[in-house]
Amino acid sequence: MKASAKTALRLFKKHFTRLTTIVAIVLVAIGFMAGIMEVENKIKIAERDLYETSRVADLHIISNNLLGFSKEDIEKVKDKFGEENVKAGFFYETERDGQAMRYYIQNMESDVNALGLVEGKMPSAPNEILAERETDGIAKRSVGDIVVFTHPITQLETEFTICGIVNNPLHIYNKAEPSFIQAENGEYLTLGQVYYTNGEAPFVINDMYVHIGGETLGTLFSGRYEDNVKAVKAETEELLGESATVLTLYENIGVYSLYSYAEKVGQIGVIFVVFFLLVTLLVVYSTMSRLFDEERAQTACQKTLGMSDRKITNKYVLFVAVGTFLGGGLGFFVGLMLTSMLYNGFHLQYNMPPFPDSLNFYYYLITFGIIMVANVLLSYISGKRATAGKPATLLTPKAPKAGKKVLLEKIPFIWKALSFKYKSTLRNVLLFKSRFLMTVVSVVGGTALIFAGLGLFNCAVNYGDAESLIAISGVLVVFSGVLCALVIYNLTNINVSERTREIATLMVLGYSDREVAWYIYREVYIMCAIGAVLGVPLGIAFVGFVFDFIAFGSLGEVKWWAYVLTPVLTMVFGFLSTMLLRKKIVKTDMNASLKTVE
Amino acid sequence: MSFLRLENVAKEYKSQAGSVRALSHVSFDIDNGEFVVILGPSGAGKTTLLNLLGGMDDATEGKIILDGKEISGLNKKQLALYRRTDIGFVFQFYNLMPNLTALENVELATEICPNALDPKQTLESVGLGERLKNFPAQLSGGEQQRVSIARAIAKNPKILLCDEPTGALDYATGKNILRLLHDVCKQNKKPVIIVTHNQALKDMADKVITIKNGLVEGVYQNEQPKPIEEIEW
Repeated sequence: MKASAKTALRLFKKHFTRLTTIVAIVLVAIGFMAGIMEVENKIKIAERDLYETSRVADLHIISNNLLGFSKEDIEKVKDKFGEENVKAGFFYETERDGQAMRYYIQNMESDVNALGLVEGKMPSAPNEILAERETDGIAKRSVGDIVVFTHPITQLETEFTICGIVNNPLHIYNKAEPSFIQAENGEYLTLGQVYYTNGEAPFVINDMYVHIGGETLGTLFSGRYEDNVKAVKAETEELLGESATVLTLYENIGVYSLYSYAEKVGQIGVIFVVFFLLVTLLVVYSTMSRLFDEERAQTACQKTLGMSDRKITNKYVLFVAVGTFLGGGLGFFVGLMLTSMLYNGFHLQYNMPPFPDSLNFYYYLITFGIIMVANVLLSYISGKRATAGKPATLLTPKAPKAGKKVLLEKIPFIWKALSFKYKSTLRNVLLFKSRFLMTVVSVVGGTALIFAGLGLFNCAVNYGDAESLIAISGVLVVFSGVLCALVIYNLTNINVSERTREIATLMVLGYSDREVAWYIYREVYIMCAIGAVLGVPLGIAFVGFVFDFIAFGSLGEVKWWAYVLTPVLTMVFGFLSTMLLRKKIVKTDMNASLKTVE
Repeated sequence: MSFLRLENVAKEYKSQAGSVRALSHVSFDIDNGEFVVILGPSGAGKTTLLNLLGGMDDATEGKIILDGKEISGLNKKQLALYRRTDIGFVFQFYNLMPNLTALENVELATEICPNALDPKQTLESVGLGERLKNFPAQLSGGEQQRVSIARAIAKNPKILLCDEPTGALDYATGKNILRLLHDVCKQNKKPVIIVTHNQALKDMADKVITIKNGLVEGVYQNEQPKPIEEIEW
């Protein structure tokens, strides 16, 4: 094996913990970012699939005339769009028990706006009928139930047997929808029952569905689609005059709101992407800077041997790239899990098509690409800084950052009251400003997300069947907690390795393990506490914004304990990650740390 | 009985590659107020010996007794307590906390010692009365070593252990530091042990212990120690 390959391999072995940190942060970031962003993509794909397979009606034309469309009007529509793209039928609404009952006669041979069979079978006998699936408005019907219709004029009763339960693709919304029947108080009655029979409408045709689709319109809900379908709508209205109302999918509360909902999730996702990306870059940058500090002597040695800066840096860039690649690979599965979980969460409001098994992972690839490029770039930057000096300078140890007085020392009655432990802690916190900022920003963000998770949980519990939403709140709490823990672990780890000398000094002076550990922990906990406290107001603002945005829940529903539990959880996550490093602190070798130059 | 006694002390380091015997059959006595120099080439085991005396490591065999108390056989926690109350350490590389001032560095040690001296007075006694509020980075090497000595003596320990205390200093500064250590020894009547490979220092010691290949080569008393000013190297 070549020496360069050997040193690279040793780098991975020696800094396994750092590699794990990079893998973990990339995993969490990509899993979360892509997991949320990909929901938009998957919903759009599912909707497009449904649109194409069920040939969902781009235009729904309803006659305003009691006698329906004239024969000429029907011919005009069929001529314009092609007979195979038009389904013409009859629908009728009547009041039953204070709600509206709707009854369709449709030609089910036509594949335009095809009804999706949920249960049972399609009608094969004249007395067989289909019922629309249960929603918040539509009552539950089962296969085998008998429905009796009374003819509006002859008063003759006809009995039908329900042979199947279907879902009309224009009725994917689970909330109650209004009918066309106006009550005496002016409000429209809720649509309570919907039935379909198969056949040609015998007397009146007042309901037409037109699927234009394909090349002519462009992709569903794209800009081109919107322009085209609105133009076609205007043409059709002109063609039929005032006798008809032409509706597009933009007026359909189910199909279009699902689409815009998906876009909203994508927009919220952007906030997460920005935050998680920021934290990832901060963690990777601080990890790499520290790594270069530790490898200073080796860098110097390679430089004296005449190796180019670029070549020295490449090894470390490979280190980061491998970590990012592994984290990204594992993050894919975490993200996929999160996406399908969130996707299924939409079942609460919509009759969702099954989760698409498409191999299109648009957002996953984008987020992975961004993180990879950013991480590689960052390592080049920190590598350039680390290799910039002359070999002679690099061979001497890096001077520790000189101690500096802080502003608080100008207020003697506070400063004098502090024990040296807190003096040292405060100076350290303020000395490493970028590290302080990184930690506080990450913890503030993580805490805000934990609060969002708990807030969402409170609201979701109020809606009896919001199980999957409850699941989302759990995911949010876990992911944000893990993020906080990772950042704190990383910071503590850097602190410990940077201060082995100080730790050893304390040990030699006779400080106990607990006191030494606290020397490191104290400043970590202070940063953590600042983040935890500032995170709650940010969380409140964020939750308010999100609730507004998704039109679900309100801040008033968030229980008092969520406000208390949030910072407590943050501190618990921080506590756990520092505990992981206790062993490393108390195992510090006093001799090795004190008697060598570095 | 002498103030510090070592009886047949041995130290063995075990590793995957096998065990290495760093010290064996080490026995000697040191009296209170003695200025002792432990001499030996690098790798001879003198730092190991200092670690055992200072409670930074535990002996594999033998007995170490300081002021009537047996050190060998103490557990990790007891060793920390021993370092806290009984030992003052001075290192080649000072090992000051960079984010604490000179005074605070001394307080760092006295805060946890029951019989500690006043930190400010101690710093004044080593000639740093004007430097109390300076950070280590604002002090010269010699001044940093003085802070480190002040930190060690302010603990009011039973014994002062110094590992190559002049190793990182120039000739003149090194001499000053040695004079300071000698003064501390004589004024406080407490033993000071200096580990070094500098042969010249043997002339200023009350007692010289030479170590070679993990064994005590010789122990002898200087009847007439030379003052530091007369020593050249």
